[in-house]
Amino acid sequence: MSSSTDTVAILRRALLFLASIAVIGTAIELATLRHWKRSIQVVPWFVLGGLIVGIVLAVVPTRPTIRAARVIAVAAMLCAVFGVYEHIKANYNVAPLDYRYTDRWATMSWTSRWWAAANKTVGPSPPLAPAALLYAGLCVLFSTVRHPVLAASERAVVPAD
Amino acid sequence: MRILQSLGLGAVAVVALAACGSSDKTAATATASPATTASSATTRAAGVATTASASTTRSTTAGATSTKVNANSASRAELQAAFEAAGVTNAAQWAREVEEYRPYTADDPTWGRLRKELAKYNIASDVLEKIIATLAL
Repeated sequence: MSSSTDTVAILRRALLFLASIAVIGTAIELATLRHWKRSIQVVPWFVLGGLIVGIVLAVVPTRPTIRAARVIAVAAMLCAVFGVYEHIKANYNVAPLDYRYTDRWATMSWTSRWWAAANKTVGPSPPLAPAALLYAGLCVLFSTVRHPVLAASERAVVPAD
Repeated sequence: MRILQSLGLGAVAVVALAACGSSDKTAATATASPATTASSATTRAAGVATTASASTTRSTTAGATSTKVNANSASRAELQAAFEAAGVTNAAQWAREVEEYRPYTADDPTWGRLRKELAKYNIASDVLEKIIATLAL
């Protein structure tokens, strides 16, 4: 194994290590928040489970496992984007409960209301917290870029000149 | 190795940033929420003449709350009806929040946990007292 190949392998493992840290950290954060009281709050737990599977699949690289890890990573990233939207929407919905906005929320413009929800001026939900799942998914996805297992199988199907 | 160290630091920073968002709100909302803004609306809704001080409003509100509902066993509709009777604005949403933070235990007679949870929404103090006055265990 050449030095550059060795470095790439180390970096792939490093990305999976970072994804693992993000998964563990997010799980701890969700647990401390008791993030399971409403049905939709269970979604990130399934995403975390999927990411763990994705990380394990990427650690034992074969063509099917790498492809599966990629699918899981993309799905996790989509869920993360959905989570950011859900947090902002939750803040938007509870804004009238804030005594500072009870009377004037209905009179505010559409953009002002969504901006207040997105920057957490109103509501208790941290809008960017689900982005931790996006980060973990990206790490898993990047760890599979130009993976030698896929490259080897692609070379195998190309007819020799 | 230097690259690995940089990646590790970046990861920790991202996770920490994403995670810390939930904690700052509590601190921000833990400050007293002056009842001046919302109290006028809620007092009007309760059909009570506007009074000068928040404490008077609270006591009047407590007196006006004739029915209490069980915080643990009442349905959301029952909670909402009780809150509406007590003059709580946005009663439906507050009923949902009260329901969410169940169960409530007898070892918390001042409703400290519920107060803490509802404070995250920047609730007006008089609205909070009306809600608490409506609940029983």
